[in-house]
Amino acid sequence: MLLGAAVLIALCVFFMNDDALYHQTIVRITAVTDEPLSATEGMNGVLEARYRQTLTGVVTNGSEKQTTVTLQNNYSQSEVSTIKYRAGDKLFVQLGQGDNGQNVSVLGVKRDGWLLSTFLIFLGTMCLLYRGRGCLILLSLMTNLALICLTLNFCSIDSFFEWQWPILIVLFCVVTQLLVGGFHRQTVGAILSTLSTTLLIFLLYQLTVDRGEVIPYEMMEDVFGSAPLETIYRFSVIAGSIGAIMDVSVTIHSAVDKLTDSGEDLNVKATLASLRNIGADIMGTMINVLLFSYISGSLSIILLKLNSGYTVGSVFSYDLIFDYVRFLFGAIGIVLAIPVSEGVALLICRKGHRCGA
Amino acid sequence: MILLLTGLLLGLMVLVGGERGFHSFVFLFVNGFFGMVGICLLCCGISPAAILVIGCAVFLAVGIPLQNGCNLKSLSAMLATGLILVLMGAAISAVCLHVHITGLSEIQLKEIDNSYLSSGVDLDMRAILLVSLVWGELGALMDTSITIASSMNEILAAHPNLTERELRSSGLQIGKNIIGTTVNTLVFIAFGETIMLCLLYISNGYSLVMLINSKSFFQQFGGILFSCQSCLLVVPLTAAIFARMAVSARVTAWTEKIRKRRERRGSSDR
Repeated sequence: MLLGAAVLIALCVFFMNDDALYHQTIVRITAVTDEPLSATEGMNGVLEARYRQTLTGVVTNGSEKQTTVTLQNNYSQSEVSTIKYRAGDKLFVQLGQGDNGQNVSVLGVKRDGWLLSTFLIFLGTMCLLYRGRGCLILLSLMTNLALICLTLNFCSIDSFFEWQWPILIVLFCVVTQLLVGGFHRQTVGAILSTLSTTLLIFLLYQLTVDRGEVIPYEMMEDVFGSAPLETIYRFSVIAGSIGAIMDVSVTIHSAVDKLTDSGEDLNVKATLASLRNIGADIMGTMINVLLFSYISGSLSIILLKLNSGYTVGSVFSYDLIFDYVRFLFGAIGIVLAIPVSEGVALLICRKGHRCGA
Repeated sequence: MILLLTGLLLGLMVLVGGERGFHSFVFLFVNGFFGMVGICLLCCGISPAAILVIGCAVFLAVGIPLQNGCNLKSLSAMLATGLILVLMGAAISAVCLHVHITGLSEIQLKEIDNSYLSSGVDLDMRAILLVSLVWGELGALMDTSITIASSMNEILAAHPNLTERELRSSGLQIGKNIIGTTVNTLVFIAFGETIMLCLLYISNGYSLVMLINSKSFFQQFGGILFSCQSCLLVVPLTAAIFARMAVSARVTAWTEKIRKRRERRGSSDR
């Protein structure tokens, strides 16, 4: 355990200081001086303070290592489109020779150390607190990640989102549930119910979104040139909801397993009644999870737009709508998964009983 | 179409969950409404930190007892969630200070006509980022904590003579069973949200290294990481708090008092 923690800390330190691996020049900021500039006025008549920073830094990699550079940076109070740098930050820069001495321009902030350390701490907590089970969960996450990377490498984007994506979804379901749930009868049941619920969601999506009013796909975040937006969005809706659907299916199936475990004759009515109770229990909180996770993601941009005079209606129909539709399908998936899993679980149980008898 | 789907959701919830399904829908609606009120208040320039603290307090102190009743499991879930929120809030703000992920991402800056958005903003974007990250983990955190507490409640009801240690280890056992699916739920949500971004990076020929250094990836993926981390931490904490409180005499007396008061009220109603 101690060894694991030591390896983890060592890796974090390594990723925080992996500058030598980069070809781009990295500068560590050592000193910052700020001076105020004149304030700018926005469209809504609000004045915003602006500052100019003079940064002194040391190059940490490449042939220019250890040389000191100075660079300039302007930032505005809110840091919406600008960044206020602090001493200790690491920046990717372009070194060049300008007319008056050295010319340094900032390309971006080095964030990999923090991202990977956060991730490593997550891995560490998982292994320390949850031991074997935790490692299996991590393995399932890694396998899914590998699947994604493989498909993105080997499939063309167009054909993948046109017809190949269901294969990936099925693989996700099977791999995740086998690893997380173990190879039991109820896992097979859970996989079956997840897949059928996902199919229902897909059909519902085809019936409503594909035929209904047009979603303004081109307003989606991170759009690029020739992307097949409709099919990518469809995939993102389905992929976003399978996690929640799996969660519900596993819960219902393990409940059925426990309820029928006593070995007595199967009382379908009583089992259904208690399943109904469980379903009502988990439904509300699960949907809440989706609500919080989806809506919080776009909080910043919503506030910015409202603040600069966009109406609530336009913000909803151009920004929030993508997350809201994802949320709706996830929620409907959760609710649908309850009766579907009940059905599948009872069918499997009955079959098992008949075979046993 | 949106209204139709929302109606369908309501219909299904009532059909599957009966009266309690309807209650859940109302609760959901109220949550959404409070969220909207929060957004409006933020927009009016009221301090995000205050809204965050008050909002979380309201969700914990009102939301949990409303859904689960005023009892041992609500109390322990509340305490555990509150503690983790404070802890993760501190951790998140420490990380955010260093990674500079405030405001618009590189891609938003490039693609949107942001002349409207980038000047004359009198919002504290740094605090708003913190609000959105903590807000995002609140739902999953409450869900995990309540699940653990209520399963432990069932165990306690079935075996009233368990020691603190046994109770705690049974809570951890339940945690092991549910944490996998919870983490997967969050990860798939994150995947659905970031797929477009990953495709954008791939189609532009950017490398993985550029992706993990980018602002937008941290904004979306980091949030989910924090949520998962807090769910991992809340399980042992809830188990410990619940076990401690179940054996503590003072808390037992308190729950007993509440139960009696309710019974008295119930009998006077009739």
